[in-house]
Amino acid sequence: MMRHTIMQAAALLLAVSPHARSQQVDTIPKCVLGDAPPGVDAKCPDARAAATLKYGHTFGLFFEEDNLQLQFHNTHTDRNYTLGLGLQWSGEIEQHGLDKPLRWLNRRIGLDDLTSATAAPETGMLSGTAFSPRDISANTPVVGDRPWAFLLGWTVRRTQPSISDAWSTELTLGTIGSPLGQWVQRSIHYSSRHLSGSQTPYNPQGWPHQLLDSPLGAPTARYALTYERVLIQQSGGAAPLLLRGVNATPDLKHHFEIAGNAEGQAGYYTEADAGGTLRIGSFTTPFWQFRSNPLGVVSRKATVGGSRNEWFAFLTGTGRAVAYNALLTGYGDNRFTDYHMRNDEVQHTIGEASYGAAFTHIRPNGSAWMVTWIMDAFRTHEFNTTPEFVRAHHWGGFMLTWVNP
Amino acid sequence: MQRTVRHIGLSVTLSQVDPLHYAAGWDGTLAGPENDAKLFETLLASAADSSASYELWPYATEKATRSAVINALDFAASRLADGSTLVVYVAAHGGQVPNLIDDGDPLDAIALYDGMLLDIELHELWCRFEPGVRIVMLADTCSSGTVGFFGSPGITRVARRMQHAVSTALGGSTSRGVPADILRQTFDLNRQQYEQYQVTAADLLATSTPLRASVLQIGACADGAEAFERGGTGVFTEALHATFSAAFTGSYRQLYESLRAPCAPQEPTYESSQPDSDPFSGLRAFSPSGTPAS
Repeated sequence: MMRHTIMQAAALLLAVSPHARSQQVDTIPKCVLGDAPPGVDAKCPDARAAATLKYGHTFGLFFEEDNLQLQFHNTHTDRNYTLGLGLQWSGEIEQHGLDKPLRWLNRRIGLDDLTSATAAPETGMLSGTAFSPRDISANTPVVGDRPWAFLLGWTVRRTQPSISDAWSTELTLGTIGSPLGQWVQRSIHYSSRHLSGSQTPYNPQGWPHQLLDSPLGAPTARYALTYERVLIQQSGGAAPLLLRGVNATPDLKHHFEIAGNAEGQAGYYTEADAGGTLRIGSFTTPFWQFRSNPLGVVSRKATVGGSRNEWFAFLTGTGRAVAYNALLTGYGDNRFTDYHMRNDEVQHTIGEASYGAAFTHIRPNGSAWMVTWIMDAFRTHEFNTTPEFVRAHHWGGFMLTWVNP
Repeated sequence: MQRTVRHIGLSVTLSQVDPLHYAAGWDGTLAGPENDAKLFETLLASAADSSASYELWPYATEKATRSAVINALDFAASRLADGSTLVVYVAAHGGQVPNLIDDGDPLDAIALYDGMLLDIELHELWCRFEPGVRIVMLADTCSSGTVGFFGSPGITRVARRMQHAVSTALGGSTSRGVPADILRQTFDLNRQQYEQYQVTAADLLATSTPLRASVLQIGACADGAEAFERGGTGVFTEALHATFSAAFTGSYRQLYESLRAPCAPQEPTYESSQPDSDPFSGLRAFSPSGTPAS
């Protein structure tokens, strides 16, 4: 299988490579145009045509923080998962070669059949994620609590969807331990204090003790393979249209959908996950275009699935079997880190859930604005040290996406 | 004009149709056909073999009118000699219209820019080609099972409904079917015109020579069923592009079999004008010179 897929990839490259085509001149006759019907611009087919496929673009901005969730249960915190910031875009990843590491890895693994198709939607994201202990005013490591950590990463995701399911691969390349997290969090807290005239939020003191603290951070990476499938879907209008014997339903609106997913990932997170997503509302975007966790995955593709506005509420649940979490253990070497957890202190089974709402306004020219509010995301405790520090946590988030078809 | 051996790819791709012809201002916007045309172009380029290559005649959106497509096929019929290959590729909306000739099965139709082209008209056009000409039609449209063959039995109403139910249940992508109400209204608004098309084609069929060329159609789905586009290209075309490459040396039948899994739950179709002695069964797919499959 792997040999077959690699041969296919090589053959495709052969077909589209100008160099390869020059080698074929000896064996393939030059195309000679004969007479053609009036009004047609007859031409010789160009093997590189597919390289100029046109896609739309998306540009997205998201912000996650543990103060953004709905305050139903007094979960206002400033610890654990402290901050998530990201810029996401799609549509020109391939043209700029920013996906080369992922493509190379997919070919090496033999997954190019899943992801090499020309139309595979592709998105990229530059993101930063910060974690802190409960006491952010402490200027020494808080032993037993989660260590300070900052992840900066460039993620590319390629998806090969069919009507009912989708395979995706995703690669993140980045660093753990750069000073960027400290700068961002201190700036936000300073601005907040300045605007409110309050003593809080405190200036975070522990960043010098973050995992793998260094001027540029330590290199890190993560590779993920995800399978998603629609399990249940109810579509408005299907029944009456069927009664009329219709054979087409473009822009089909869905009102209820449950999709399941399974994921394996290796790298700074090494784990196996399984979960599901429930959507209720009025929407046309397919299941694989919506993801409630923008930090965990790259979301949103370059097109929208219909010509009308859409809205929906969502509920997600995920079970995670964690083998390794570098954002808790670092690289396990005290020479580079003041404090990190041991792997046996990491909780290896974790549950997550989230709910929220999304609205998409589609303009007459096909462009669209999408707003997603993660009203509350919940994660069970991630480590087992002492009861004083073991805790679940909540956060919320906003994602704003612009689509240009 | 003398006939010669030539190999032509006729690309008919429509990202929109003329709302002046179709009812309710429907413009049939699709995101995929423009990209599909490029995938077809790469397919033709990689299909060239040691002794022959293709010419490409592209008809996109406004240029893909009824008269332009009919003229192109008639022009090809007047030029192609025994041994020629014509690959007709269509990425557009499709549907079915009432059969006004004998009240039989509805006619499959392709929504061209300024009107629908009917299966009976295509069938009549195939009859204009010389014996020994190979015609391969690739239809990435709804209701494309036998759009190239008038009178071929479609799937039953029950099967059609089952397939539709599967498609809608698994939906999430854009259908390449003319909406039923638009189809009906467009037909009613232009009833005399479509009746004339059907009667003319039927008359020509009755008086013309029978089909002598070899015709193969690989459709994106069965008659009455739906074909989808997703991710900027047609599901069928994307699968075709991913499956066929310069390294593919199998037959058309093997190519069709390879398309079934990536297209699911769409069910591509394979229809030969001579099913009992399929002249395409031993040929390498898209080989212009008719190289045997390996």
